[in-house]
Amino acid sequence: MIYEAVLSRIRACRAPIKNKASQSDIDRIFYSRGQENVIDSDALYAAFSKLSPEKISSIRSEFTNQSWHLMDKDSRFDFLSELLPEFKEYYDLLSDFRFGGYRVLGDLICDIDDENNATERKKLLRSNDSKEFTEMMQAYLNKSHAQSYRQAVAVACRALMDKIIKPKKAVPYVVALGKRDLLWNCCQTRFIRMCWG
Amino acid sequence: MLNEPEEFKAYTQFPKYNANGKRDMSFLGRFTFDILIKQIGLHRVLTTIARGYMFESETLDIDRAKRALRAWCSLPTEKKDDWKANTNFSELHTEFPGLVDEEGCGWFYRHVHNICDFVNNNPGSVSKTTASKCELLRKGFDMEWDKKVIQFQVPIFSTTTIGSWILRFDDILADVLELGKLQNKDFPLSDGIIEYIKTHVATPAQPASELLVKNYIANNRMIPTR
Repeated sequence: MIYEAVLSRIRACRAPIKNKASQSDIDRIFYSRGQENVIDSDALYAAFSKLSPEKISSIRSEFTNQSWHLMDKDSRFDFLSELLPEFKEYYDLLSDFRFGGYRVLGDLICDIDDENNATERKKLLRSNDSKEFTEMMQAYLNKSHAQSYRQAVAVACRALMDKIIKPKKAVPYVVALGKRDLLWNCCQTRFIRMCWG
Repeated sequence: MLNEPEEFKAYTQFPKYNANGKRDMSFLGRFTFDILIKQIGLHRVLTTIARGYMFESETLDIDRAKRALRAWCSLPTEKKDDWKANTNFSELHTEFPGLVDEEGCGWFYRHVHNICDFVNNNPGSVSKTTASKCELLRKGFDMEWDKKVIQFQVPIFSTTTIGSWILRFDDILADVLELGKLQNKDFPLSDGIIEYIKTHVATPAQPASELLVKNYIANNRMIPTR
């Protein structure tokens, strides 16, 4: 149901993006190695966030393909120089696997990749959306501050329904579909009139 | 434990299931109820097992260590083709007869059930607290362990992994490569330290103090200064 899909996307886009989910893991590794005052995980996130989303996701897939966590010392350097030639100053830090150190680079890349994907997913309007979906989403985007998102989408949905079916006929169909929310939000007036004359 | 090969044996050989008095918990082996119920400290257990099998022969064998972990963790659940749902590794019985039986009951599963059976059959030899903890294990262990074993198999850096702190076989194997072979790190303390403990620590606490100092020294040697 397009109406429900619009509401669902609005709710999903409103939820905040959880950034740096693994930062505490990175900090724990630095602390275990006595490096908590030497290197700042925020600085690492800032440096690696400059990489393009495509590059980040390709590095992530290379982690799995080449089993980064199982590499010996020499292979780690080869891997880093091949995929991250611009971060030479971090090679020693990232290839130090003591106390779960293989996870530092993994956590960084996975967090940034997840964030990139989440940002992509948080777009309200997307190119492959249907005409009706776009119309309802536009109603939400142009709504007044006083109006709730449900009201704005319901008004647009009602307008679209009126184009294809008379309100009186729409009510039995919606009842048959068992969509109580849709009935209440979009066909409320007609439904009340039918029930109480 | 400073003697890691001994620790490995404690995780792969069953202890004697008996108790001399209600305070005797030797039937748990090297495990505690925190490990059995909440799986606290399981990382060290799995790492020790994997180290034992990975460096068993001269050549490093990562796959054998992974199979050993699966065998140790196995449950006699219904066999499934999908790795995301399968927790029965009975096919590894021929390779690891001590770790998993023909039905798929892994070492850990059998150890927990042996403990529960012992406590159930000898209510006079155990405390009420022990009996109540075993009741918890009897009711919930199989289901909880099944979930855990599925989690262990989630590939590292997977896009579908939500929790970043979950324990996985991949993490264990990576740590094992870094830690290397099992070693006996036990060593005699210097006369000066022994003398100091004798004069400053009460007699009943002296063995524990010596062990604490040994652990401190042994583990500080492991951390290179940077």
